[in-house]
Amino acid sequence: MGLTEAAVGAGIMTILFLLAMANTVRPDEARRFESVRLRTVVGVGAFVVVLGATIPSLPAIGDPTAPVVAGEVTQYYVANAYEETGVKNAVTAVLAAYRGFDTLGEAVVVFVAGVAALSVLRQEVFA
Amino acid sequence: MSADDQPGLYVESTIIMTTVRVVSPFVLTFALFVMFHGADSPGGGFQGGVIAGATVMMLAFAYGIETTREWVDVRVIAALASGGVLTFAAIGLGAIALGGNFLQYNEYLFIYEEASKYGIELVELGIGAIVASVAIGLFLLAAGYGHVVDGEGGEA
Repeated sequence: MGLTEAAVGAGIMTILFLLAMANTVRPDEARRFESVRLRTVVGVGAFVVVLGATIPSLPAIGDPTAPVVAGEVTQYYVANAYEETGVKNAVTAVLAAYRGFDTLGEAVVVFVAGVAALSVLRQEVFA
Repeated sequence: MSADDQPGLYVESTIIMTTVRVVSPFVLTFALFVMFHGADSPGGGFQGGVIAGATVMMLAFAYGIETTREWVDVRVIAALASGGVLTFAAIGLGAIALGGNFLQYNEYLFIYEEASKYGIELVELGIGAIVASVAIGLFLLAAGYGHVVDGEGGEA
């Protein structure tokens, strides 16, 4: 769902960043950069190397024999999603029917994010 | 630099106001289209909700945040967010109450023969309501926070 990414990434995040910039103060020149600890560099670097090492083992983009395409679960969804859920969009069938409980959790996460922002900023309403 | 010697965030522009006035009904229609047609075409609650939320931000961009804040009722936003969660949970738990599993849509077949499809549509609408209202709410919260701290006319 690139549509969400486009709307959130290009539209809403830009506005939220602009508001954050308008509501915060600019630190003076001396405090703008902090020295980096060697321990942090080693830790983060090791993490990046470990993650990067897994890239060559990913299947090629569009590979028809990739496990996610050939997998039993994917084949089941493709074969049965329309008959079992009555929706033509298999992504929606997986999202709202087969994995509906997961999606409920996802929706609650969004809701809780709003409530958490209210309580952190000590506001009682979105105003 | 404190907030006092900054110019106001809002600058009135005829071009932006006219453009937003023309474009925003179409954007909101597109948001509802994406939400309702999530079952049969690409789209769904998360996508449509974000676009619907962006409509209000567009209005705030054109007409000023304070004007938009007066126009938007915060109780409606809170009701939409909690209503979305309750709709989703009610559809899921209703199937259990009728003797099925969580979100087992075919328990609702006695209401309508395409119960599964329209159950999924309702869930998508619930998700859309949550996403749209939280996006609008976070925006209004972030936009109003500085004013509340400075004590210059936030009515929270």
